[in-house]
Amino acid sequence: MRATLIPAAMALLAGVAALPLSEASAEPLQRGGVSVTVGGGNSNIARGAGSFAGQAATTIGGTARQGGQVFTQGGHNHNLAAGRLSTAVQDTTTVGGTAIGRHARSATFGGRNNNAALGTGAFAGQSVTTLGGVAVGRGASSLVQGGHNHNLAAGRFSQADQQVLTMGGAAIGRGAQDRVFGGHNRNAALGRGSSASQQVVTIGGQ
Amino acid sequence: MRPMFVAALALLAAAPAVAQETGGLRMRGPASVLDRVEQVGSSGCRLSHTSVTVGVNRALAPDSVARQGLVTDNSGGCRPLVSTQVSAGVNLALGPRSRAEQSVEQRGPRGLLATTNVVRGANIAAGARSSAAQVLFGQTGR
Repeated sequence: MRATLIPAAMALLAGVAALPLSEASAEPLQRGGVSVTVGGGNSNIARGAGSFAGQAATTIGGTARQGGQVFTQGGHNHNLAAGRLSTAVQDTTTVGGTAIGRHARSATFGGRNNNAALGTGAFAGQSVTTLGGVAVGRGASSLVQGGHNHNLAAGRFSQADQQVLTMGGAAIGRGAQDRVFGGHNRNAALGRGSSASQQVVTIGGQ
Repeated sequence: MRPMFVAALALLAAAPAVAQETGGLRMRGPASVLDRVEQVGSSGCRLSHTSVTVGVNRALAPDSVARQGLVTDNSGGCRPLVSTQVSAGVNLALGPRSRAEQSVEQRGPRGLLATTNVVRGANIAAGARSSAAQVLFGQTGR
């Protein structure tokens, strides 16, 4: 029995020592403030015949110090031209915030937008610009996500234009990470005589 | 072989507790939070600041025009411990040849511990040959 328990206890001690317990117990003051800025989730709809709908949404993130977290969300917008000969135009700009300190984190989300021209002869135009935030400090990270956008021209002789620009932020410091995602976009022209154009530009971190 | 199996079982039992402690939002230390609370209390500022602004702009009649501007600016003055700002705008052009214009602008103060700023809008032109224009601007104080 003793020969069984001692190796087991040794293995258990070795395993527990390898677990990342330091984040839970050794650094009680490791996190700073939290800044959340949400400007997305907007809808722009031109439903009547010959109608026009225009929308501009700008979201600018805040600042968190002492290793805090900054979360900026300007995506999840919908632009729809559903009426006959209708026009819907939407402009979305998201600028990430600034996170300063050890293990600070700045996350910016401007993607997952939908642009659709469903009415006959309708036009839907959408411009999505996402600029990453700044993270300064040891182990800091800046994350930018501007992709996952959809552009659809489904009405007869309709037209859908979408422009997606995603620019990375800046991560400064030892072990800092800068991640940029601008992909997974879809473009489709399904209606008779319809036109769908999509331009996607993704620029890495600074 | 059997001791290693027992050790692996023990590790599996210990892992979920660690995951719960490291996941989610980690709080500040109590001493630091108390310092901030005392700092805000001694300065005469409020601990919490909440602002909610909602605007509805409608153009219902034929050939009608409706304009609305919403500006919420609390960026100056005291910095509360927790700051929460919410603004929402609904802009509707429902009548034939009607026109609706709306502007929603929000600037909130930065909280010492937490800041939340939410701006959301809906813009709909449903009438025949109607026009709806909406501008949304949300900025958290720096």
